[in-house]
Amino acid sequence: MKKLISISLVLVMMLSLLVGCDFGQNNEKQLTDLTIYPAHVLSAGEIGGYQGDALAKFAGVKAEIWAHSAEKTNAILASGDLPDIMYVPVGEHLQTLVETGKVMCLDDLLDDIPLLKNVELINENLDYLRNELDYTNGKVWGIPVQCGTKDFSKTVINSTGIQPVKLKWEAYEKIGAPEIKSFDDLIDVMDAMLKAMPTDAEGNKMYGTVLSSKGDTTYFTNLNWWMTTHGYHYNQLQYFCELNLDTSSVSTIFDDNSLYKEGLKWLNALNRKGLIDPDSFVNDKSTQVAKVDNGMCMIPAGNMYGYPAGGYYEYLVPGTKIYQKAANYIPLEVICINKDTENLEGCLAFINMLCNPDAMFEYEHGPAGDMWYTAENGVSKVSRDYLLWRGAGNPINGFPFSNGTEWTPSLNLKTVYYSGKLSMKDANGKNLPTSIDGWPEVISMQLDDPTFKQWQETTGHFSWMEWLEEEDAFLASTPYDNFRKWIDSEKMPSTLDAAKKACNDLVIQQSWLLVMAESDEQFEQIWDNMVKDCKDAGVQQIIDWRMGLFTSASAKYDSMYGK
Amino acid sequence: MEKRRKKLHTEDVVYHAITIPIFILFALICAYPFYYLLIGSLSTGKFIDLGQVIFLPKGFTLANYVKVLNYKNIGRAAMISVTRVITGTSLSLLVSAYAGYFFSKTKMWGRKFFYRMTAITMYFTAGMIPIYLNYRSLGLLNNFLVYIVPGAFNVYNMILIKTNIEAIPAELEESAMIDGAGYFTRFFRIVLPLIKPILATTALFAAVAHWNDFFCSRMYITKSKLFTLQYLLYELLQQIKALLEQEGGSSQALSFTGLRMALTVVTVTPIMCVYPFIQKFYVKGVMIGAVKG
Repeated sequence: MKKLISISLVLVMMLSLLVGCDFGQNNEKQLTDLTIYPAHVLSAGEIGGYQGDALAKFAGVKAEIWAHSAEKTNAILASGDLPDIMYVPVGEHLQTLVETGKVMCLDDLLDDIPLLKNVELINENLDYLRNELDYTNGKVWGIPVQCGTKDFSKTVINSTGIQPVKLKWEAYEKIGAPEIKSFDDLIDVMDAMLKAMPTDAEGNKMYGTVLSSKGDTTYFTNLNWWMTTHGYHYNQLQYFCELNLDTSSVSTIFDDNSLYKEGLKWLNALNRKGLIDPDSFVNDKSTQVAKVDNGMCMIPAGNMYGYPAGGYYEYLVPGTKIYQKAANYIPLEVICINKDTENLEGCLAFINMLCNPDAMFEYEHGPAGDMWYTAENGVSKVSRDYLLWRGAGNPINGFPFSNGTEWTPSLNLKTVYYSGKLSMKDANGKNLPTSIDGWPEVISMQLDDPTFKQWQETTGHFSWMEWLEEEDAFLASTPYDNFRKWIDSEKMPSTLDAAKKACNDLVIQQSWLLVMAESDEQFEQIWDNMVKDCKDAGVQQIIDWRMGLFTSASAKYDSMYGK
Repeated sequence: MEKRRKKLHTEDVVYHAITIPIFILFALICAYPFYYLLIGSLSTGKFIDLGQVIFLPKGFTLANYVKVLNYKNIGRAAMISVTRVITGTSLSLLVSAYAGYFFSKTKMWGRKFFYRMTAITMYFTAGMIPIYLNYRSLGLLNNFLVYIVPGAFNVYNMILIKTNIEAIPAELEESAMIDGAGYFTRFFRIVLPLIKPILATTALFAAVAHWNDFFCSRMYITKSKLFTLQYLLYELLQQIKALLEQEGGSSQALSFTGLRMALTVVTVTPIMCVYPFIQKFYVKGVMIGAVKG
């Protein structure tokens, strides 16, 4: 018996030894090992599968992603154990790396990245890094990411994200698709839509809109959509200001005629008509996403996209002004190379690959054969399998590849270009976009969608972008983009931290109470109390500081470049 | 022999009538989250996110478990976790027990000083960066040993064992010493068999700590072949969080809900299966540590 047990143990040990052995393919071309540290990649470890194959094919490297965390960043900065490639936000971290001599100066190496010169607006971005940042001393310490112009043509619908009003089109058609002349009209339309469609096909209750409190960290996020629909940005709300992108001016949210107050009044009117999901305050993010994306509301508000799969299509309510940044002249993040890297050639080849739309397309969508293919006549098309997958209502996530893996966004890397165009061409000889969902076959599928055809008929427009441009409701740029670098780089004085935290919490809490107010009088009372309490807590200093930054940044830009 | 039935008085009946439902309610409240995990892992993600899964699975599916078993490196991560638990617990027991035995010897030179220097580490730590630098200089980064070596000596467990050993009559060791037994012989042959309950308790503490830890993988490991099951779960949760927090949320995140629950069931089940077998030692061991003599 003992002999049997010991023999079994030996066999188990031998087996585990074999399992632990790495049977690497010795006849493979030697690939350079690279370590990469990006904050935006959601998965750590060696990059394998079709992504690993693309890296080997186009850059000759084998890459390993280090898991990102604030603690790890501090630890590796202190230890000097830096990876070969780092994605570094422009600001404090880049300054630290440059000043401590931990990253390589790339001025003399730009010629070793041959595809860099093909990237749109790369010179403008490099000049910014050289001339606008004091600590760079006129040199380039990192390659900027996402330079160039954005391609808006990739989708005919849902092309401007969360910004516009989107309606549950089926319900809208049920009530005869009445014209919506104002946001007040929209409330009545939503009410009628909900009465016409109180439950969905599965018997789930429908709502006017669904909010959530779980995203409210520094400001009330349920008005994000309201701000962007009106051509404002919500990034100043945490400083109790609202930014008008058309004029690039800021004003305080505490004004009686502020857009913020108007938005809360609108939500309050919705609530009093029973059009807001009563569980909004307790909804966690995934519940809100589930309700919206499963088509259970008449308009997706707050911070929700409202995908066509949920039945939502855009509607241009008069007063709408949509801003979509069309071009990146100023980098927010750069790709740095560790000064002590032993794999410089590999690093440069990797960055070169990030400048290559064809290579990155294969990295993100796999090689020809699964999601796409190129026919003998040289025309590239979406594969039938992918069209069937999307036609069944599936998102791109989870598309099964022939090697048993699935499409996942968890290893997508930020590229040097913003949108880019592939060298592959469609049947009309046009260069294809870098997102497969913008290829003609997928667009045709969208165009063939009966609900979208109905949308085109009802609105009289081919696409949302066409509607926006016809009504002069699209902003491709704003003066704010020119001088925001002088605003974003300023840190708030620490003496205002406590007041900001107190006022942020107060405004969030009171905003919910304002939404739930039962009468106009109660609304005004809560509003007045909120303003008074914030002013007593010292909010005016924060507002003055922030508005002062805008004034001085704008004046600086005007003096440098003229109005 | 007939079982003697204890006669219940009215007060007993009232007492049982009040306390039993209350304890049943508490037990259900404690058990329900695990049950919810189980039924959620067997349901379609959409119904979980809409809050429609309450007592029974809805949209019954095993696809989540299929996905878990196909998730990247899950088999290897499970092996790493199990190996870590077994080797880490064994090493921790050995080191903590022997250290406890040492400190129980009143004649040990510098005993008070060493004991205080050891105990003081329970109250504060050097911080993240010095620890990282220390591990780096010891060559523990990207090394399986980072999971078991730093945690080998646990002061709390050592104190529990030491207290337990002090309760053993000194005569037992003295008689062994008279017969010529050295320290090692006395420790392994006399003391260890007598402190089995406390060893089982500390083994449970150590095993649970090793099984649940993901921080080590996150901070000190970059090679995916050394990731633990818990770290894979953590990574998956971070992916979902990132997708949900993107502007507009993302329906891509929803397909993960059932997967997340299935992965949680897979990681929690082994330790829950082990616990009932050592529960009797756990209660006895903790109480023995509290009562001397």
